[in-house]
Amino acid sequence: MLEIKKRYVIPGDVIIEGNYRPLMNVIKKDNFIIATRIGIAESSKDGIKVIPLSGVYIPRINDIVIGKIVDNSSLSWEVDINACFSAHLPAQDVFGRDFSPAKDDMKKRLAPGDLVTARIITFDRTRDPMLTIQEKDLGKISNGEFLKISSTRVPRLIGKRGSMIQTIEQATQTRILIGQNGILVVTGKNDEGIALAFKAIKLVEEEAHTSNLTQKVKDLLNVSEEITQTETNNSSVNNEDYVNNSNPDNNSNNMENDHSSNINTESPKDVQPH
Amino acid sequence: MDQTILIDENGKRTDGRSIDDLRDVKITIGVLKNADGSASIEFGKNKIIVAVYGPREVHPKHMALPDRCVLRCRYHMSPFSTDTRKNPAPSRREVEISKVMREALEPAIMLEDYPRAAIDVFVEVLQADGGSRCAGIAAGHPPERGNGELR
Repeated sequence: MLEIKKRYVIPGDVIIEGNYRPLMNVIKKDNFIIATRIGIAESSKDGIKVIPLSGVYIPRINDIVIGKIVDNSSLSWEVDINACFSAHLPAQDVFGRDFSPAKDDMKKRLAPGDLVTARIITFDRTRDPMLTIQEKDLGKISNGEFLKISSTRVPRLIGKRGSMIQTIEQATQTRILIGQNGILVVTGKNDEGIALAFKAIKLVEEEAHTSNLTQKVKDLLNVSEEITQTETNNSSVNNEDYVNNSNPDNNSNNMENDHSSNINTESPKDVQPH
Repeated sequence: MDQTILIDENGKRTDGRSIDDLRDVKITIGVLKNADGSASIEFGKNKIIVAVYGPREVHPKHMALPDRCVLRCRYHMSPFSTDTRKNPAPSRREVEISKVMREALEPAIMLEDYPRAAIDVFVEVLQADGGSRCAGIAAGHPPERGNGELR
């Protein structure tokens, strides 16, 4: 298959002519593959797709999202996942198969206003998305600071194999939960770290399209932390230095790293459901 | 009998343009932070700002269509957009222009891609100088097609 280089497209642009399979955000018309959104066109073994640079979150199966409980009926919770559809979390998913609306008090387990990390199990645009929290690292979020960014910036915030988010987490001594829908929850030991992480995240969101972003983020974190380190080219060495210098508690930091890598496996860079 | 002269002996219009000259156009996109897409257009002395939201949940719910997205347009002229103050209540004219704009924008959007959702387009005329509906549609197009974030 002919390889096309990554390039920017706007709606209506012809990406390529030929017998290719249209995937995301493209249509096929008379043997032409045409973009339907602003983004970066990419080809793979499966076909041609456009990764959008703007727009609202559209749910996809297997996405890990962070949602807010809005309401509950007798059989399910209604969850706001920052999309054009509100999601449903069935009560059986939380209570198990022997759930009975008469016996179990749903409000005690998840009350309106609670935040949950959940995975989308079904969604086909004709019906509202269905969620599950019965997996490792999913479920109610007990504490943290809430932040919303554009869902199109999430892959950039995570970075290649989670490099960006790990840099931020380690430099600011925080743990950042990322939902594919652009909702973040930041937890940390001190407020300064959280504020700094917010700053870094905002920088990533605003300048997501610029090159050399990792260096910019590092500069921001460097300056504010007032660590008089000579600049090293190797980022991993740099990060270890941070940990040794400014955090006496290394154990929790390791846990945080484990967690971020768990979420990163769900990032759209790695898994792209078609 | 005095006649209104639209084109003088040099073939110029009263504002100095020749018959095939367009008024100055300036379009900016991404002007509103909280909108999903936005644009402002200056077309001659027209100044129009457009905000696009969505696809988002439809309220009231009964308006939602099971097979496609609903497109809702609102054309509105600010009270200070004309010489004499314009009543801010939507006039017959504005209601009709809203409908016309919706029908002009509908073919440009893949409404069937987002069933049960809504896209809202708000066109606010800050300064009117004739041809504001066309300018509004022109400004509505870029944010709608790309959510206007190509800054």
